[in-house]
This record gives sequence, structure tokens and C-alpha cells, in this order.
Amino acid sequence: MFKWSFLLSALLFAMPRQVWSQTLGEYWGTAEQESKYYKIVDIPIPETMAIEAGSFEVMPDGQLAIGTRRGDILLATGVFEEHPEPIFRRYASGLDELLGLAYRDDAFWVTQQTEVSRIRDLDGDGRADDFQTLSDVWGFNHYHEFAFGSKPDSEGNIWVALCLSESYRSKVPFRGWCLKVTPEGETLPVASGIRSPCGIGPNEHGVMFYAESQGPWNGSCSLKVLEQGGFMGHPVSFNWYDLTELLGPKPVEPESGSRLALQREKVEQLVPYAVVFPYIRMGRSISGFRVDRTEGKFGPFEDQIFIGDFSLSVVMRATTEKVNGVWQGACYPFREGLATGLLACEFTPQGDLFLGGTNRGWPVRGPKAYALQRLDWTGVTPFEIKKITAASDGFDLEFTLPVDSKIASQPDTYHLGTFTHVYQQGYGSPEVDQTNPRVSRAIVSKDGMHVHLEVEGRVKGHVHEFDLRGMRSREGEPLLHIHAFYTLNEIPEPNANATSNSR
Amino acid sequence: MELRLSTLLIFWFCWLGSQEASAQELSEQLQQESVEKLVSDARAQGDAVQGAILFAQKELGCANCHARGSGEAVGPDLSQRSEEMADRDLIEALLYPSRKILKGYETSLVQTDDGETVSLRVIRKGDEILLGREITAPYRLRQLRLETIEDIRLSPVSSMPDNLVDQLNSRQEFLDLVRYLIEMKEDRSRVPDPSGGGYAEGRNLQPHLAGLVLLDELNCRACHERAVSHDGDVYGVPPRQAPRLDEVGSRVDPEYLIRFIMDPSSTEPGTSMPHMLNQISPEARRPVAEEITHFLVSMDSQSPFTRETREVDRAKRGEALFHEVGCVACHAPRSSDGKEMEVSASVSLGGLQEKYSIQSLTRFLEDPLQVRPDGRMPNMKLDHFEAEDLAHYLAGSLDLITSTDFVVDMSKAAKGRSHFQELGCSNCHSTVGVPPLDAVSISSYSSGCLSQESGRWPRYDITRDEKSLLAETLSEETPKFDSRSKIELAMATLNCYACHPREGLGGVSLERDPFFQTADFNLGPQGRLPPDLTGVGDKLNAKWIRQVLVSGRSIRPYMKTRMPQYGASNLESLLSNLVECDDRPARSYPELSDRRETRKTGQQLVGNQGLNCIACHTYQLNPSETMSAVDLTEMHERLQRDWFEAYMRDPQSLSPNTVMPSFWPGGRSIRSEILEGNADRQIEAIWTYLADGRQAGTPRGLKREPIELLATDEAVMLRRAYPGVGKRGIGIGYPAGVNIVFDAEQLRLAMFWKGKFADPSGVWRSQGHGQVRPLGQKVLQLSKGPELFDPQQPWNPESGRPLGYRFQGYRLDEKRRPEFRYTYQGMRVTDFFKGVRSGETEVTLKRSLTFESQDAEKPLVFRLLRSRKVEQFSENRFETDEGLTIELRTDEKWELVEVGDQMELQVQLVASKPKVNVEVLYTW
Repeated sequence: MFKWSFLLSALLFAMPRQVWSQTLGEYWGTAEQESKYYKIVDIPIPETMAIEAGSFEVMPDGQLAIGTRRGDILLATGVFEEHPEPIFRRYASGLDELLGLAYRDDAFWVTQQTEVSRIRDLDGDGRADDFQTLSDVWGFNHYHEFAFGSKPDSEGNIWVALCLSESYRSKVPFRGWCLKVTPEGETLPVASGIRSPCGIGPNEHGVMFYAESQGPWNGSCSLKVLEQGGFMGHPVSFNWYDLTELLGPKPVEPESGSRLALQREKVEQLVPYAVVFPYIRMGRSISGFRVDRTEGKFGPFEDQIFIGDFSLSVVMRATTEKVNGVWQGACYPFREGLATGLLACEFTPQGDLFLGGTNRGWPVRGPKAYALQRLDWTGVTPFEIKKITAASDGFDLEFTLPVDSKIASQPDTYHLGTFTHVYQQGYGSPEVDQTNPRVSRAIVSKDGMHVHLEVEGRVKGHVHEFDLRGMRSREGEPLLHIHAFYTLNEIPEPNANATSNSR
Repeated sequence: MELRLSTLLIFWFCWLGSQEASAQELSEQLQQESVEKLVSDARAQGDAVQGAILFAQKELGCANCHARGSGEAVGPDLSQRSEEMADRDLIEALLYPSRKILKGYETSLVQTDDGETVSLRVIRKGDEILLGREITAPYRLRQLRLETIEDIRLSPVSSMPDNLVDQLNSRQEFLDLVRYLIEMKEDRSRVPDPSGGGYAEGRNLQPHLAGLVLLDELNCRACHERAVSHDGDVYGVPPRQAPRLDEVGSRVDPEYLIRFIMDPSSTEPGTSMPHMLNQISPEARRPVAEEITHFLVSMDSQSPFTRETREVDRAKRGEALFHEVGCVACHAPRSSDGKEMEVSASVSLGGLQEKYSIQSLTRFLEDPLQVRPDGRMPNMKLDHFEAEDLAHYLAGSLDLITSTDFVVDMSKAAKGRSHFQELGCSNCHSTVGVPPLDAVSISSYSSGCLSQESGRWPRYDITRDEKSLLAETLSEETPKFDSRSKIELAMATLNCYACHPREGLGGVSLERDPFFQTADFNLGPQGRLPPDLTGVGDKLNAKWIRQVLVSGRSIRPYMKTRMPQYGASNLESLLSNLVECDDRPARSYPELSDRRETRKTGQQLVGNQGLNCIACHTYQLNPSETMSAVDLTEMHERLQRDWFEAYMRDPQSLSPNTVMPSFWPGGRSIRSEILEGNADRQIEAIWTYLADGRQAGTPRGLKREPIELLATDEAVMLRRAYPGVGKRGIGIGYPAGVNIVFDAEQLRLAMFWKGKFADPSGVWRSQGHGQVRPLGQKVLQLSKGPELFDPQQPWNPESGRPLGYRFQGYRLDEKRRPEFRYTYQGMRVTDFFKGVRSGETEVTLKRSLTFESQDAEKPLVFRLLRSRKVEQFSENRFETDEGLTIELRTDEKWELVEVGDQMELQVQLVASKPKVNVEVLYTW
């Protein structure tokens, strides 16, 4: 009986995900233009190897380590060359869905579906022989219970985001939680309420974030901050508060069908999404992300977050800032037309962005079953909205090239709309409560790189959507991408403007 | 002995009365039957769908020779033979090919004067040329000059092989094939296609359009205002641009530049660069050419021109690429000694070895649009290494041409710059800082470029006819072109016609035909010849056309010729013109009453229980077993529905070269039991199914490569879910041929088996929701729950991991066999397994455990067996009723304990002992 009921529930929850006609939406239509600035380089994969990359690490000797869904750690040389002719070597195999990989102190620190492990090569033959389990304290009973692991933080801890049992259950311990595993193998719960993570790592300020997927209690995909005691929004995992004291008391149950901004006032621990990625327009399953620390080798977006999307095979940018103690920020389209569903990315020592993933199992735009690709900056700077930050009376926009100050100082160059989602137990949410704020004044900086917008009618808790189709650079070029989306959880205090944008 | 065996076999065969030809060849068996019986059986029992697939299959290769719609194939178009053919003729032709050879399809044995013997079907014999098609793969078209032919004889043997039927597996397959052939010849709905195989014998471009193409090629507009009056769109494509020269210094050998500037057409015959220096006296030409070269090189003095030696292997690969990817669609193919063959309408390449270095040509080939933004030389989608190979072939030279060190003389360069401007070079080669000359209006054609005289104008080495064509074109008012003419202009300008026919213009020429090759002969001519673009704007979705033209999307991996990239800005108007010109009002289709159900039926039709599309078409990048026909999951994104509907009913009417059989001949479905055989509804169902694109459900009959994970001389491991084991299973296949699963959740040996290790498809395909499947035999499952436990603390075996256990991982030995480690209540355990061969075939599993007690307080128990019945049959050997024998070697105490209705073999572990060894041998 037990077996049957288990099977049945597995089927029930697997089936609705398999709705065939799930739409992958329309392309941005910017790929042709994007290719002038960021070139896609295919990394050839030998026919005998199925490399389903789930995680990357750049090794101290310049090799690339690849953790795969099929459980290999591969070491690759030649993948960073301008014209890659890679050689792949198997360092370890037989592991389970490698969705977190780091190399520190002569060891790999690996997050697999079953555990966090420290993996070493003791006899020095180039292949791992010592597999030490640091933590496997979480329950693992269903294939969809994925585990995404960060690279070690400054104290050497690996943060693990644990997917729920399915979208609506937390059947075994800590499903839907974030745990922190110390180098000594101690496991410390951090936060509850996760639904289906697909990437975890620090934001540009070094604070740990994770990528959440659209689904129950999540109107759209978003980046959220992971902080001790936080509740990430999906209450089904409250039952595990009994197993630990580190998070304090169980939060108040949020009310389904309300708005996140309203529930924040009621549910003290509820962490709002920092950056919402509007569904389809900005991805459908945001995944692994990294901060550009290439010091300009990847173009004008230094210290910004680059994040892939599994379903739409696109790469996007994001920026975050802390306002009134709450994280928020914006996302921007970057590059579309990648060959497969993206799971992981990593910056190379040359300052290119390495990407990889697979398209199996879920609807994906990219046609290849698996692929490794690289985005190389061509050296030409695209005209883009570089960054949006909140101001006490509006927004500050930064551009990658000087704007045409005549056009840029006209308020009607900027079309703003806002919306939010229903915060509910059901799957996803339509965009609701739309408003149209008005730009009353646009002040262009002398160098033409910044525009300060005075805006009437901003709405706290809403995504603010920018449409700048009329904008031109000083050279008369239109923007490569005309849209950007700022999630406004908080509005800065008038006098705190200068200090609130932590850098 | 042999005789007796065959006699026996015949007896056995007769006794069976079987229709399977296993001993006797199928052809012999069929020849013994009456033709009438075969006809009636084929009509009654033959399955035309299976026949259609056989028709296209590689082993038989029917479609290679019997292409539909083409009069130039080796064999006759069977759909056009309905008048002459009775059912019985079909069967006789299959069983006795040489008995009756259709006139015009005999094999000719041609002997040439260089000793070659060619077996051909003669297609045409003119006064000088004989055109024929070779009767063996790759069925090349051959054009032989009659004067080189020594002898021609007709062969009495048909080109259709005698034993072809023996490639079939059964009589049933024969009936299927015949049934399909009957369907095909009875399909009278088809209008015979008179256009032939799509070769360039159709009409020519109208003279005024041809004049404009030439006007563009020579870039007359660069100087003459009259012709400049184009807005970019008038001609369907942006005007020609001469190469950019800002990096010419590192791209082209300066010596070559000097020679070329002095006399372009003798340095590079066929170049469109005019003779500019004929405006000055002959003796002044050399110094001026040098000064201009100094100026050009001075613009790119950072990276001087250098040469490298050719590598033979790379040049060899380059030669293959050159003749395969489409270079020879425009340029002349080359003989094995590297000489350009005389093939009409070829763009000459001149002396590339003198002009380029290998590296500079590589850079050019990787991105030709960088230097020539006008797209007349398109990007052939070569990767870096291909471009290098090609450059080794084209520009490499075995004896390194030493280029003299060219040092820029700035005073010469300054003079060069003024020559460059005064001569009007920058009118074509727009160059930063050098303004073009003012436009010149054309007052007469009796002086100037088009006259025979020389003067202050460049000299064009073009024919008299070309000159008069230009004069005529220039004197006429340029009409306002419609989209059709603009398409023709654009396609002629970009030479699309070298590969694609459209509306009777263009297509692969006979001379170039041999260089259009395929990786899949099963697809017939369609597999190698680029598609006819007639009506393409109505066939493909505009978005898809853009994807192909601009983003380089391609769905025909079997076609060796590549669809090049011309640059988005060069194609904008062609794109919109195609859509405008070909647009036909789309039919409207009724709303589906039950989309889900319709889709399901479509999936059934596509699968092997329906029309078996999956037998030939690729599905989600997985090629079918038969051939790699266009991916089903991309159809809906590409095609317009009206075209799809028409194509399904009669593929050949829209694509004469296709091997796609008609499944609704005469509007009747071959599968009458699905949707009552209604063609409209069946096609609608397939379309609805295809609408899901890459998410379309897997049709039945898709063959997937099995995955087998096997031990080598080292052990193999996979940590995933196994049957009866939770998600924390660790499966290991040992070299000796035993396999185990260790359960890292409950810390126990969970199962073992013999033979091959495992098939991971269940966890490596789709979302990974399945299990790893043991591949070997004698799979034994052991009972659930931890093996090491505290008898005072009962546990529920189904509830995952009880408290207190800590899995610590494993270490691999030199054969990559793991030693597992875990702790429980202060007891540290290591657990190691290996396979031990005993004798030739027997293999047992040997297990070595150690228990180190650190701060254990209580005695613990290690459970080795738990079964309904455990019997001890010697001092340390036990057997279960499942046929498992274990041999226990330890100094510790053990006992057989009854637990409920089960018996357990337990080893007692005393807390005070620092280290305990236990060895167990499993035999089963």
C-alpha cells in the first residue's frame, strides 16, 4: 500500500509539469544585434561524451572543471582559447546531479543531489579517490528534490538551497530550506520557504542570494536574499521548524491570494523578492548566476549579476541595492539564442562568460540536448541601460554610452508601467494592479551617462517596467534592449539618498 | 555433409510450409510462385505505408534511381508509368529486372580515350556532348565530349540489380513494397511535372534586369549620378561596395598589390576592378602603383604581411571543403593538381598564393563581410579550423614565396594618398580621410568608360555585348520594379541562382552538379540539391526565412553544401519582397472541437502504428534509422499550414526531388482505420500534433540508442535510485562481473546481481524521474533497514534513515572499488566489496568489514541476513530459501535469531573491543 500511494503521488505531481503546449513565448528579437557585441562561441564536445553541465569552476591551473547532471567531474583544457579545441578528462564519476562545484585547498567542494562532499585526489594520479560526505542530513525521496550549492563563502561554508518535494509538498526534512554546511561538516539551517531554486551564490555586494522559480507562492521567477531566519515565501516547509532552534519560532502563515507587499507587514520573517524577472519576457526558469569581476574584460557591466535561463536559453543581467534594509534591484535583457537550456555559468580568466546546460526533461528553446558555449565580448560597447537605482523622488538611470541629451531630457522618452503579482498558493500569477507612473522631469548629467528621473506615482512593492524605445545615444543609435524591470520594495528616504546605495 | 544439411533444410522448410525465406533466397522463393497470386496477395495483404518506407530505405535504395518528377534519374519515374505498367509488370520488373528494359533506360558502357569505362544511362546525346548519369552511387551526372569516347555499347543487363528483392526480410515486405508501387502508379491526381530536375536550363534573366546586375557588379553607381538615383530598395539589395582597404596591408602581399593596381585584369582575370592607371602614361604606372601601395600599407602598419608554409594534411582537408561546402557554386572547381577547371560563370580567384598568406586568408574566410560588407562573397559558416584548412589549400604553397620586406616610405605614402583620391579610388573603396570625387553625369556613350577610347576614365575589360547592355540599361528610365523583379535582381546579384532555382530561373548547373553532395544517399536528389525557392514566401513563415537567411538556422544536416550568410542588412528587402511576392491568401481552418484528442491522433499517425513518419524523419535531433529527413519537431515553426496541407497530399508536386511518399494518393488515406481514413482530418491531426514543436510527445517507434554503463578493468559507480532502494543508492559494477547497490541512506548492502552492470536511461533521460536498471541476471534484494543497530532501539525499515547514523563517504582503491565509511553510536565502520572469480564461470562477492569502537557504550548487532528461512549447513555457512549462500569468517560471536516470522543472522559486536574484522562470502 505504501509503495502504491507513493507511486501514485509521484505520478500526480509529475504529470502536470508535462503539459505539452507550455509556451516558450516570443523571442526578444535582438539576437542579430547582440551578436555584434557579444559573440557566441561553441565549445566542441566529442561525440562519445554527453556533457550535461550543471556547475563550473575555474581551476588554479587554468583548467575548467565541469560538474554534470550525469554525475561526472570533468577537467577541460583548451576551452578558454579563442578557437577552442578542448580536451576533456574525467576526474570523478558516478555522482548524482552536480549542481554546485568549487575548488579550494586542494579539494573539490561539491553539492550533489544527495549530499555536500569534499572530493580529493590523494594519490595524485589525476583522478579522485577520496569522497568525504560533509553533510547529507536532508531528506531525499523524490527525483525533483534538487540541491543547489554555492561556492564556499568567506568562512568556507557552502550554502545549499533544497527544492521542495514537488511544487506543493515538503515531505522529508528540510525540503524547501536553505542550509549552511561548514568545512567541518556541521549543518546549520538558514532559511525556510524556498520553492524550486535553480542557482545560488553571492550578489555583487557579496551577500548570498538564490534564484527562485515561478510556481506556488511565486508569481514569477526572482532573485531573493538568503539571510538567517528568513522565510522565502512558500509556507509548506514550516513543519521542519521543530527540528532546529536556529530560525526561531515558526512564522505566521501567510494568506493566499493577497499581495507580497501586504503580507510582509503581517509575516515578520517574510523576505520579499529582490529582483522579479517578469514571466516569459525575462526568462521562465532563471538559473545559475555569477557576478562579473573581470575588471572590464567582459564589457561595461562590471560588478553586475549575469544569470541564465533554462527554458528560454537566454542570459540576462541584474543589479541589486539595499534600501531601508531591504534588497531590491533591476533586471535587464542581455543575450538570447543560446543552444540549450542554461543551468550554470562562470567567468573565465580571459573575461568571457562560460555557459552550459541541457534541454532534457522540460520545454526548452535551445535545440541541443546539451551544449557548452561561451559569450565573448567583441570589444564594441553596446548602447544599453547599464543600471537603474531607486531615488527618493524617482529613479537614477545609468547608460553604457552617452545619451542624446535632447532626447534624454524629454520626460516622454520614458514610458513607465508598474504591476505586481498575486501572492498565492496556486501556480504562478498573472500580472495585476497595473499603474502608469509619470516622469515629470529628466535631468541628464553633463557626460550624458546618467539620467535622473523624477517620477510621480511610483508604487511600493510593484515591479516598475521601463520602456525606452525612443532613447538615442549621442551617435543616434537606439538602445540594444529597450526594456528594464525594477522591483521597488522600498523607496529611499530623501536625505539618505547618497548612503542607501551600498556599493 | 553439406549436401545432407541443405537437403535437411529444404525438408524442414517444406515441412514448415512457411513463407519465411530463411534458407532459400527470397527471390528464388518468389520466382517459384505465380505472379497472379503475388498480385492478389499484394493487393489484399500489402501495407503501403511499410512499402513506402522500404522504397526509401538504404538497402533497397529504390528512391536513388526512381526519383519522382525527374527525367534524369537512372530509372524511370514509376508514378509516370501508369499507362504501360500493369500490376504484374511491376512484379516481373522486381523479380527479373533484365527481362524487359524500358526504352531509354538501358545501361550504356562507355569507354573513353583515357581508358576509363563508365556505366551510364544516357540522358541526352548532342552533337558534341553526351550527358548521362552513372548507374552506381553516388549516381553522378557525367558530361562526356563525344570526341573523347572510343566506344559505346548497350548492356543487355538492366541497371536494376537482379538480387534486389533479397534485401527484403520477408515475403510480407515484398507484398508491402508492391502494394506501395501500385498505389503510386494509380495516383492519377498528380499533374506530371515537366520542369525536370531543376537544372539551369530554364529561362534567362530579362535583359534590363541583367543590365542592372552588371551595372551593380561594376559599381557604375559609385561615380555616375544617373545610376546612383537608387534608394536602397529599388534593386532589391543594397549596392555593391568595393573591399574595405583599411587592413589591406596585413591582408594582401604588397608586391601583389602593386601588380594588381598596375594591371588588374591580367593579375586577376575576371576581376571587376577596372584598369585605373590607364589614365596615366605607361611609364608612370609602376611608380604610381607603388606609391598607392605605400599609402594602403601605411594605414595598417601595425601588423605587416607575413607568410607561412602550407601543411599538406590541412590543404587536403581544405580541398575537400572547397569542393563540398559550396565554394564551387560560384568559383571554379579545381582538378587534383589545383588548376581551375573551365566551368562557365565562375568567379575567378586569381593567384591566391601570391595574394594572401594562409593567416590573412583565414581571417578573411572567417568573416568575409568584415572586408566585403556587401555580401557578394558570403560567409560560408566555416569555423576557424575549417577556414585555416581552406586557406592552406588555396593560399598555401609548398615552396614558400618569399615576400620582400616592405617598408613603408611615408613620403611615398603621402603621394599615394593623393593619387588615390585624384584617380577616384575612394569612390569605390570608401576610405577614411579620402573624399570621393564628385559624381559624373553621363552625357554620351561614345566616349568614356563604355567607349573604345582611352582618356580620363578607367578601362573596363568587358565584352562588347556587355558594354552595349550597360549603355542600353543606362539610357532607359529605371522602372519602378515590383517585388518579383526585385527578387530576381537580388538573387542574381547575390548569385542565389547558383544553387536555388526559382520560377524557372537558375538552379545547380550540370557542370557543378557533382559538387553538390549529401551525407545521406537515402534522401535522393533532395538530400544534396538546395531547394527550389518558387513560392518560398508562401511555404515558410517569414520568421523562419529570416532565421535561415540572417541567423544561419539550418535543418538539413545531410546536405553538404552550406547555406551561406549574406549579412542582415543586405537581405532586409529580399526578405520583405519574398513575403510580399509569394503571399497568397491563407485558408481558414475550423476550430478544433477537441484539441487534445486531435493531437493524440496526430501523435498516433506520426508513430509506427500510423503512417510511420518516424521511420524516415528526425525527431528532436534524433535521426531515424532509415534516413535523416527533416526534423518533425521543427515543421510547425517553419511551415505555413496551407503549404503543409498541399505538400502532404502530393509531395512531389511541390518538391519534385523528394523521396517522401504520398500517404493520401488520390485523396484516399493509406491508413483507413484512423479517423475513418479522412485525409483532411488526418492531416489536421498531424498538424495539430506538430504544433507542439520540440515539446511534441514522443511518437511510438522512435528508436533511442540504449545506454549501458559497464565495468571495465576498473569498477564503475553510479549514485542514483535503484529498484527497491531509495534515492541514495550507490551502484557499483565490479570488473569480475558482480554488481552491488549500497544504500547510503540506510547504510546497508541493498542488492546484488551478476553480469552486466546497469542501464541508467531512467535517470539520465527526461527529468530523471526513473531508476537505474540492473542489466545482469540473478538479482537479489536484501531486506530494508540498517545492518548495524542497537537492539534496544527498534526502527521502522521504511522510514528512511533512523537517528544516529552518519554516512562519511568512501575511498577508492586502485581498481576504483569503494570502501564505504560510516559511524553509529561511536562505532566506526568500513565496508569493502569485491568480486572473486572461482573457476571459469563462477563468481562470488567478497565483503570485508571492520568495526572500530571509539566511545561505544553498548553492544551493537550487525545483521547479515534477514529471510523467511535461514539454514546453517556447516560451521560457518548459511543458506536462505532464495538460494543465497553466505560464508562467515570472524572471531566474533554470531547467532540465528527469529524476529517475527523472519530469521536473522546476527554478529554480536562487543563494545570493549577496539577493532573487529568480519569477512563474508556471498554465493548465489
